Amino acid sequence: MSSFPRFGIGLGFRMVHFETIRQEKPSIDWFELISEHFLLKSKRSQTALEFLKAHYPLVLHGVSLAIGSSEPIDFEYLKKVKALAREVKAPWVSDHLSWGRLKKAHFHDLLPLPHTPEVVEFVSERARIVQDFLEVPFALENLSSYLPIKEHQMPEWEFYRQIVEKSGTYMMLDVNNIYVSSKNLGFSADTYIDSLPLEKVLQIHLAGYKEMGDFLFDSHDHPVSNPVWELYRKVWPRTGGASTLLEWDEHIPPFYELWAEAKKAKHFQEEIFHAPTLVPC
Amino acid sequence: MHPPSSLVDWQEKFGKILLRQLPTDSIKPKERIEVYLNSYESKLVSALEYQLPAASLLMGKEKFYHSVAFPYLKKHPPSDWCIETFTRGLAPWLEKERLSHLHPLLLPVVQIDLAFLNAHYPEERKGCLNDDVQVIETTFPMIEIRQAVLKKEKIPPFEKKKRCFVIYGNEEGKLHSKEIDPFHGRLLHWMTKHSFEEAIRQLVQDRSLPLDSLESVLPTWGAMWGEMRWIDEKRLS
Repeated sequence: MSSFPRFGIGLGFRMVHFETIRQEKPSIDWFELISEHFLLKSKRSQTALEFLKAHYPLVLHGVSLAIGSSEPIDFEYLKKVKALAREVKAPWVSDHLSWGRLKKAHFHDLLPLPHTPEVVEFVSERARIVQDFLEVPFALENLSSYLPIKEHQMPEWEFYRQIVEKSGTYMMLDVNNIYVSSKNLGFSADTYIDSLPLEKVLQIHLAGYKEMGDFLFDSHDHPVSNPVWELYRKVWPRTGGASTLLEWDEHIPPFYELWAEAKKAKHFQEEIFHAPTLVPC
Repeated sequence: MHPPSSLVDWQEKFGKILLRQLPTDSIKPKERIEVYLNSYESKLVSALEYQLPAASLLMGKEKFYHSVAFPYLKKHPPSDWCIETFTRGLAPWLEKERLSHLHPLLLPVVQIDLAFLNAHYPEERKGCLNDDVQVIETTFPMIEIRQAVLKKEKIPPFEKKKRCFVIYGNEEGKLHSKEIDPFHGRLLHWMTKHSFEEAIRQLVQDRSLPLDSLESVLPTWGAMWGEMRWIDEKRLS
């Protein structure tokens, strides 16, 4: 794990911030690009890409792979992702542990999978193929869950752990998603994180959720909540200091407001570094 | 590796609920499946609103959702990862469904929105114009109408006559538009599909413009193509 770069605190790049970033070159540690925003070449996206490549470390995060879809892997899509990863020198690529594609429909959403041994085998094999194809480390992100699926034969953390271990891939751990799912489905977020091989975490996502009455929705349009920061405080040191990123997709605030929210992660990291070391008796 | 049959069945059922081919209570509890249903539909309708901003404002959000975006999504769910492909299918669908009764300017406004989208995300073409150059032949003053709609102003009175607009991007991708002579537009239309020589042949065959008139205007038009970077020199040669 030590061979993977630890970039510090980053932001999900959103085009609305590009002019500010270009003019002021803020000292952000790194940016994550949504792969699909750069797969179709436009002059504007190319201009942004050229600038970002020259000034910041970049990683790619996809939303369309549908690793758990029963349809064959879309290698035409993956070829484009691979070319983009090479272009931006991404040290890893991530996507979601989900499905979202059928023969004649692409749902453009992150849909849940039944947690069964058969699905573990199926997804692990595909994740291994994807990582071999991309020729860079490939990480899967845990979803926000809403539905207590009756077909589940194991808890989500077990499903996630087995897939990552069997496939030899990595984790893109979304701490907000763990919290949202734990509240929606009634499990312990601590049990979730205690059950994961956290040394396989390449990157951490933080985001805000929306209260919807009887459930939480992973809306990416609010500041990170206190319980999520608390979880982050527990998780981050155990990952060996994984690169951390704030996502914000709806009602996107001005750039420096967003960066101020992301920098809260730095305070937690500094607190952890300055905490007195506990010596076992 | 073949997917487990239980997974295939489960995903087909889930997918049919999202496509509204099965009721939401096919999976329990239905309230939570509705989270996915709402997310799927609202995400794609929002994408249509974002990529067709003038059409959405022209109709009003509610009417655009109920009469255009939602019925289109139901009939033609996206089939690949590229949202733009999904949006591009809307204009032919509107024509096929004869939905122009919803608003007399709906189809031309969708077409001009799509021209801006296509100029931004150009598709590869065989012709000799740069891929981002979009040629719109219409009878409406579409640029003025689109600007009025986007600024939520009253659409200015207009006279219906042959017009042509070119939408194109500069080096950094900022989009511009220019109204040109309809004959000039016809030639550019053919140039989006063919070599320059073939485009001229098509234009003469069209009887859009007599050959001797064409010879007198070509130097001026050619200078404009170079200045505006509409022409792809490599493809021209």
